[in-house]
Amino acid sequence: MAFRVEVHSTTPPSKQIVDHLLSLIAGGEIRVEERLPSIRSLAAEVLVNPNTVAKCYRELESRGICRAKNGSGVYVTDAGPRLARAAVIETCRREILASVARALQAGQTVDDILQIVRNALEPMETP
Amino acid sequence: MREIITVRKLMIKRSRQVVLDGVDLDVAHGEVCVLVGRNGAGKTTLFHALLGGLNPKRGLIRVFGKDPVRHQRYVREQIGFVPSIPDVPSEMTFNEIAAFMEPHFPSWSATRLDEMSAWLCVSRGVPFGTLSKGQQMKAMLALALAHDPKLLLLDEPFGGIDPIARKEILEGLIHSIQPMKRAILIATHDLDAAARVADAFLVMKGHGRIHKRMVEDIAEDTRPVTETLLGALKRIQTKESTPCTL
Repeated sequence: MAFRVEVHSTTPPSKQIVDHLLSLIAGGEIRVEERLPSIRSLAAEVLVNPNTVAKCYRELESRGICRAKNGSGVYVTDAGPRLARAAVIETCRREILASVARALQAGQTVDDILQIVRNALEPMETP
Repeated sequence: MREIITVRKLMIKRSRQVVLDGVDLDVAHGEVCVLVGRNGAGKTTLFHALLGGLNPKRGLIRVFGKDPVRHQRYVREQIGFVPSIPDVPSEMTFNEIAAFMEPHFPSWSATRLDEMSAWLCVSRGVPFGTLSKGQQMKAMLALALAHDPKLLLLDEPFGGIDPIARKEILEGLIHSIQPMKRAILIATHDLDAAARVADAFLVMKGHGRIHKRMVEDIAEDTRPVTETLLGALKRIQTKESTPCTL
């Protein structure tokens, strides 16, 4: 996982870690019943206090995305990928809306914005 | 959570000068607290007071529930201390320093020292004085952890070291965090490192007065953690420092 926590960001470190794990689960890089990295190993990798990682894991548990199995670690639940995907899509939707609002404020028309999106998507579409 | 450190209305004088006055502090079991403040705020003096090396003029200090001046041995045996300037003879090697320290700490473990020094890539066989500042700091950290202390005190562990050594010390520090088991108090000007490891920030104002804020409270701020800390330090300067007049 090439992921770094950026402490100079307006997004708190714990939210950055939660978002990162949500992306991995939503994208299938960590699958159902697969174990998340141990708290200490993830803390060492992203250079944060293990308490911060533990807090992130508790949040994912409280959202039903993961569950702790007695002492052996934290695992992705059956519903985990679906819930993680919904969370990631909701974040993306908010980011798109914020960008659209900024573009409209800067004088772009709705047609201009739609064209930008179409142009961006075109190379990504499979033939 | 049980308190490891309790300080109430502490006053410390050095050479007749009041360095600390009206200091209150609580550090809980297993908590990682980062002490930030301007130069001369009294961070190092507070550390020496916690180690029982300074007699309070007024107020109370309790470390593990005991007065560190009266029970200095009991308190010191359970503290790992890394001073900002290494206080070991420069002609001694790491192994010689370890052999010198071992009898003073009943819970000392040579295995733990081997693990930590290997983990931190410490040079063990050359005189301490010939090591770089970063190497010295890593060696001091390994030595401070050899007796599995319940409280780790680090005074400016990131001061004046290169970025590679800084990262290694930060990794060593994160490795040494034991939630619910070991309290850590770090004085640093490195706000990036502070934001990574802190459970709580202790902002030290004039005469060492401390304002404690938990990380989760700061996380609600819309600014980055480092900006919030910088703002707190700037406010100290504008409100409490004496204007320079020529």
